Amino acid sequence: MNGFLAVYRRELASYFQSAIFYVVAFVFLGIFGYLFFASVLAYGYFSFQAQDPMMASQLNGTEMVLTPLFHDTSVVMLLVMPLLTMRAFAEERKTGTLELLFTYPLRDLETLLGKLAAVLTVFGIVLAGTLPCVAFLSSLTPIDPGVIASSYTGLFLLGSAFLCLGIFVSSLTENQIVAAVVSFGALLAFWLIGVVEQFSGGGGGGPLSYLSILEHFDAFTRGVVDTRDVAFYLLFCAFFLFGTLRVLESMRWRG
Amino acid sequence: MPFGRSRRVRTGSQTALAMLAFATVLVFAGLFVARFPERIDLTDVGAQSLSEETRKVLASLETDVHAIAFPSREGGGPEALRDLLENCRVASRRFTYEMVDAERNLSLAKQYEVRSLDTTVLVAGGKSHNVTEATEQALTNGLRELLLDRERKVYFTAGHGEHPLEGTTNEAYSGVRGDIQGANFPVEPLTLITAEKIPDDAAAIIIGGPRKPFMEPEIELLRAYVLGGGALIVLLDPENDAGLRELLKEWGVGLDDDLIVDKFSRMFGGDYTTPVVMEYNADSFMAGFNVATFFPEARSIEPLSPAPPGITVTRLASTSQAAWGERGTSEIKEGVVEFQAETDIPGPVPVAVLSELPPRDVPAQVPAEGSSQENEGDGNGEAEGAARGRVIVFGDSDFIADAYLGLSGNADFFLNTLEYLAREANPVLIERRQREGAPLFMTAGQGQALTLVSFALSPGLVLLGGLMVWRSRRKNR
Repeated sequence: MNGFLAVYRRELASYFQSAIFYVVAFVFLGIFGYLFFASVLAYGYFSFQAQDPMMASQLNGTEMVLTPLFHDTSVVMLLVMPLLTMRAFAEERKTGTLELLFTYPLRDLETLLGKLAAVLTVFGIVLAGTLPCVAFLSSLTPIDPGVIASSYTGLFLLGSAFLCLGIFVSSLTENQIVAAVVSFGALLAFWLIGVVEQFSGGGGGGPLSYLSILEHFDAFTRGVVDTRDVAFYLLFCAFFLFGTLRVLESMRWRG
Repeated sequence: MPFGRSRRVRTGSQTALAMLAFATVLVFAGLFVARFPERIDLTDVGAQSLSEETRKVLASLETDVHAIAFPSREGGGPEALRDLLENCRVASRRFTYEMVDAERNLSLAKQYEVRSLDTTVLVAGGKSHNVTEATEQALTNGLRELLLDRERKVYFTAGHGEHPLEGTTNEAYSGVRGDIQGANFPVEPLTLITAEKIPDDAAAIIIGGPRKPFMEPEIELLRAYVLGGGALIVLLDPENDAGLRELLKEWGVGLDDDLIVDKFSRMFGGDYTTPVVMEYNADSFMAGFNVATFFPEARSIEPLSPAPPGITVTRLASTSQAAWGERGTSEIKEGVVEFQAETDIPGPVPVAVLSELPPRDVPAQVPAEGSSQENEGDGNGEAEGAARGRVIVFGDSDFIADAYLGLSGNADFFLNTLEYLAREANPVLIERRQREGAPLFMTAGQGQALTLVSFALSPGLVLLGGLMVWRSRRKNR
């Protein structure tokens, strides 16, 4: 436990002292802000256009702003998350501190979980930066707290999956740029894999759709927490964490 | 191979193998979770939950039901339909579904006679039922319809010179008969004069252009059937009311002795006694139907005002403003057709009228046999439903005869009305749970605050934090 905390503190401090955290957070929140701004403006525009009561009765902040906003946010996350994880092990390998870390009385699991917890904390802080927009929207119009809760749950699970994959890729190389690009490519592949089924005439629901990382996020944005979606993200994380552990172990053996 | 390299290859392949083995374990874990799924609805209005009625119907499934959905691509249609079907799948292991792109699977759509998007075909044990609305209520009632053990039939009355159901003549109903059978309703003739009562398995009775009057006992049977929640379609030609005038009057439908004349129709190259109908009641089940229909030699059907107490009478389809109901048939014989304001009925003239009787608890005519009764006895709420008699009267019987059935939207119009009537007399009513509408109208101040919150607040704080760290690091150098 002490080892875990030591790694966690060290990682967290290094994140906050590096420019990458501020750049990633600024870009992410800037894009989120723009998407929020555009969604609210569109909501206002359609409210003006709604001439008949039938159309007006279908306008609400939850479906007009929150659901599409969180959906778009998941795509933005796919683009920026690899930048948070690219340094996790690649930097240590490059500077040679990984060998040093191996000499400490630390288990690989403690090292890995310490790094994961640190990057999850950083991601949580970035995600918390979106809350003022949601709070502001709730001051303008009634919105569904259940959808907010489920969407943030989904975003956190989705982000965790992105981060676990990123950490795994980072453990494979000592070049941070390579780690970021490969992570991005892998995430993109996991995103687009479900599209193949849709283009082949089916409406989805097959094994390829099941592997699609964003497909499991849709239900969260509509206020549904499905145990299969939660399980998918947890298993996804477990797979890449296990892979990272094996890579670390392999590096120890190789010396 | 150098020793170091061989060790790297060995450890690398061991890692890959271990990951493969672990992935297999995870696949089984995923399958286990998928076998016992749970969906937690966090929405404040319960928009993602099934109603108690639907849960009961799904819980009572004794055979596997497979739903084939043909969603529209517009708006949130596919997601809403997928959510509904997914909820059903989670609620019952006997329920499965697939989403199909109708444009890419035309043969499948044709096989199940899918006529519009957002249709879901329910298939069980060789039977199928089309649900044409993407709502929980429609799906639940479709499931109940599908699961009724006995077949519900459509009966055509016989013995009064009605259109024959078979044959190759222009006036035969063989085409529409095939269409009705394609919609999963077996068709049979019904001789009322020898019948003691209308069969219990009747989904609807159709009176197709009788030339001789009905006798009093026959009228009595029809009255009892409709009052008991039955569905009746009456197709009457001009100059012949078949003795049904008084009966229809009881249900708020009046017959006039006229012939509809539509000079606009003549402009299409047809006869002016074949009115073209383009106006359908958008507040009825005809909403969205916008195809022209043609009624050769039709009479007007009048929704009586005021309607008898408790009865709702709705005009379903009318001619254009240019048409009128010509009362002076002698003028037509002479070839002189001009609108006479004093005697004729001005357009638009109704050609189809729906009469809905007040709900009555009459168990005799509601599904009352076999498993359906057992299901009601299970306390799933069906018995609480009240039968509601429904009658649709058309001012023409030829428009669905073989000579005219294929003309424009004639077949679709008739089948729509039949499907509406033939639905179960006591459907489950499920209130749609949706969020209240809240249009957004922002003040100038709120607009400025929006800009500030969107672009300045969080990104600004991050930028400030970054600058502070950068300055302190520069100081420490």
